[in-house]
Amino acid sequence: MAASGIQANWTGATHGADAVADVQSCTISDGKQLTAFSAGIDRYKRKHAALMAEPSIQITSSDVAKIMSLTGTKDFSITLKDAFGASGGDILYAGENATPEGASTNGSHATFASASVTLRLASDDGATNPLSFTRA
Amino acid sequence: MADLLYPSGPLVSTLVVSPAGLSLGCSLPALTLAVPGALGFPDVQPRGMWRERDVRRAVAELLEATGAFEGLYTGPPERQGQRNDSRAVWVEPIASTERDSWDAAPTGRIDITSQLKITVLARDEIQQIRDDAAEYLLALVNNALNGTNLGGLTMPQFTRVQSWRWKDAAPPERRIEITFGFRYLLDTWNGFNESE
Repeated sequence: MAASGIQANWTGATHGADAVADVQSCTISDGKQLTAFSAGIDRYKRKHAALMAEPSIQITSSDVAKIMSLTGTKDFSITLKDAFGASGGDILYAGENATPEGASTNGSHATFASASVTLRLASDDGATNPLSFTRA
Repeated sequence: MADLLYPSGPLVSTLVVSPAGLSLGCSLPALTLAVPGALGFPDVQPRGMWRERDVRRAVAELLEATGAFEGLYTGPPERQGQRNDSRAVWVEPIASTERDSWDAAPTGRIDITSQLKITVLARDEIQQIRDDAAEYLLALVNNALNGTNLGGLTMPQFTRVQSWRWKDAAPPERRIEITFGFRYLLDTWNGFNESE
């Protein structure tokens, strides 16, 4: 079956050796921050420069204990599935040096609880993007 | 609980209890029945491979354990030639809904919400007595089933009576139809127990 070219559902979330099951949502941000330039009598910005970026990944799961216990700086990976489940259609996201920040738990009455955490990614050399993605 | 498989007579008269005792609460990993298969029951399934019929059996066991019912059936007793019980109850499936609550489908878990109809019947020539008795049976059903882990399958947090409806009295009978809900998880989308 040919890949659909559209994506649905996450799988295979891992932070180092910790696998995160029951993922409900995941947001991957390239974290690019644009700095705008203007001078003199300019009334509009004339340039936007991407001087700095800090990619991050936010993940929400019913695996509350796992989310709340993620710790340390480790590589993170997660796969966004092809909607048809076809080989070659998945997108594999990899985040280097992912450090958890701001884990929180939310549970409403008579629903399954969930927990969220943001993983901030760091570059080894300051020049290489710590966030990458490939088709597979 | 032979009558839930073979609706030919009152359940209570054919209950088989193992020598070690039949667990009526459902906290043990497996129920032990004497001579599995003796009355046509299949062996009890291992945890994680239960079926909704096992939940209905567990409901029947808990209701039978109240000792309040003369007859316990899988449908209206008159359909089974039983019209004389002063107190009776029957358990019938209504519907289930599957929900995909997590990613990693189709290997992820699936969440199933189900409803049963439990009907209690009280029979007495005196209206007040039969209505009071019907309400008493309703209370018994609530107390016996709410918050239980039925058949090792259901989540106690979501296992409870949801509503009930008094049926018009048909002297000397009064019936109350109870909608009972439960919820369980399957480990995979194709994890249903196919055993017959």
